Amino acid sequence: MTAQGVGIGLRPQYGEELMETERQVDFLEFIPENYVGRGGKDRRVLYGAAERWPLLCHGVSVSAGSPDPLDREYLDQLRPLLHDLGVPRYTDHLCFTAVGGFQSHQLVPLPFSAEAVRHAAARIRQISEVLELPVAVENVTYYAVMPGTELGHAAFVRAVCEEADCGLLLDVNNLFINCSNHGADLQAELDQLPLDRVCHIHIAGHVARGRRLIDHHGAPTSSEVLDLYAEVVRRLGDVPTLLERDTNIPPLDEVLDEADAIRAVQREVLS
Amino acid sequence: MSLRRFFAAVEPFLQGAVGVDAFLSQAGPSPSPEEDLAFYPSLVAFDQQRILAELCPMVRRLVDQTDGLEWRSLVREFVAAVPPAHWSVPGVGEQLADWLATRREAHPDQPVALEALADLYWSRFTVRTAPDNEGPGIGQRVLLRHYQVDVLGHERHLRDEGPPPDDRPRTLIVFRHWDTLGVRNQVARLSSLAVLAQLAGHTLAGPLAALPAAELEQESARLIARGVLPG
Repeated sequence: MTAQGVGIGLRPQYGEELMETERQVDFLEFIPENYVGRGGKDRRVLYGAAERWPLLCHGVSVSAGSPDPLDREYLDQLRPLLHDLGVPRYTDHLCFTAVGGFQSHQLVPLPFSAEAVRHAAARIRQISEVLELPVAVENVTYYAVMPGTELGHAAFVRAVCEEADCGLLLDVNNLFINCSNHGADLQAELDQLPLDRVCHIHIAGHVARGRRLIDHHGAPTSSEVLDLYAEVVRRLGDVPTLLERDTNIPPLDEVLDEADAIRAVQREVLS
Repeated sequence: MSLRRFFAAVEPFLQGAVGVDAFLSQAGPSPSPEEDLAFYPSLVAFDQQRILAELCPMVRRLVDQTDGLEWRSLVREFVAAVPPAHWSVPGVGEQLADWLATRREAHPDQPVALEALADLYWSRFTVRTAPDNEGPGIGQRVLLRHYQVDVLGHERHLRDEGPPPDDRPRTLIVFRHWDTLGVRNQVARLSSLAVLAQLAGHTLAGPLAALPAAELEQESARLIARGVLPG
């Protein structure tokens, strides 16, 4: 089964209700940290879902940009899970979460520099080798430009993807937020990203806090982000699109309603 | 500026151990306002509070109800003593019960129920996520926990679902049901301990050895019916 169309995140809150739904779900994306080394009901639902839908995987903790050694014990447990479920690739974020042994559990941006390009790209290649799968990295939101930055964000993302020869998980909400928060030109940023490497799209809602937009995955997708998504689909064609909803999680039907609306945008553009 | 210097500077900054000025003086200048950089340690701290409150909701409530304790500062104190180091997000709370117990030695007014509740929540997480290939008996999917207080009574009371607890010690079996996989807990009887000890290959001694065989058979059947043991 190949992931296409519009999918939703497999969240424990939906569990058995999701398994019983008759509504259209094109694919599911799961967070492997919720399953590695674990059993129980959530794992049963995951394997049940794998029989019904294509699965994509999106990690949050491998910390592609971290200075710390890769957690081989974790990766060695992750690899059989991914292969068992038949996911086509491993995706994670182009940032770091752990530093000096401290796990921040936050997606912290790297300095956008040539040295960071080489560092992150080498680690991404290593992750791909250990997992025996292609890797794609997500353009994260950044709320501050870190010291040592020499490049724009899109140029940094392009350079890492090219140096690592990896895919790009294009998060259109993050792209919109970054341009809004840092006053960058949306079209120019989009042009600079390695769009030929996009294998997976994320779309989500955000919230305004003061002068900042925050990527909180807790609201319906804004009309501006949907417009940007339509532009991306126009350029890229049919790329599997994941609707992220991680906070203020609404009833399943509401998420599926929103997925239907995004699918309608996708179909309209593609037709 | 080298990446190595950046990482050396950002670690204490993210942990809240140093401020923006110290971070920038070590890592070099940033075009972003200091307020934007300071957003990151605040995100880290906010998320640590959220993770622990979601893992241990009634620990949070009891802290809120206890004079002299405040959730935000208690979490700050905890993560400074036990910095999160594991990829698992709930893993932030693994050491909370032990840390609270140690902290109570220096703060005798701190309720014992805090550490008991923290242990109960971590035990439930452990049994919920225990590997599937574990055999019957005590392990990760069946835990035996002894508490100095009536921890379930405290939980019900904090949820406004029961009267104040009597605070007699309790021994609980926290387990994942063999069929439904739901997480349950029940008070352990002497006969439960005997059945679980026998299953683990121990020879019964003391009061456990004095229990009649018929009672052990009855208890074994009860543990199967409750889903503690497989049928």
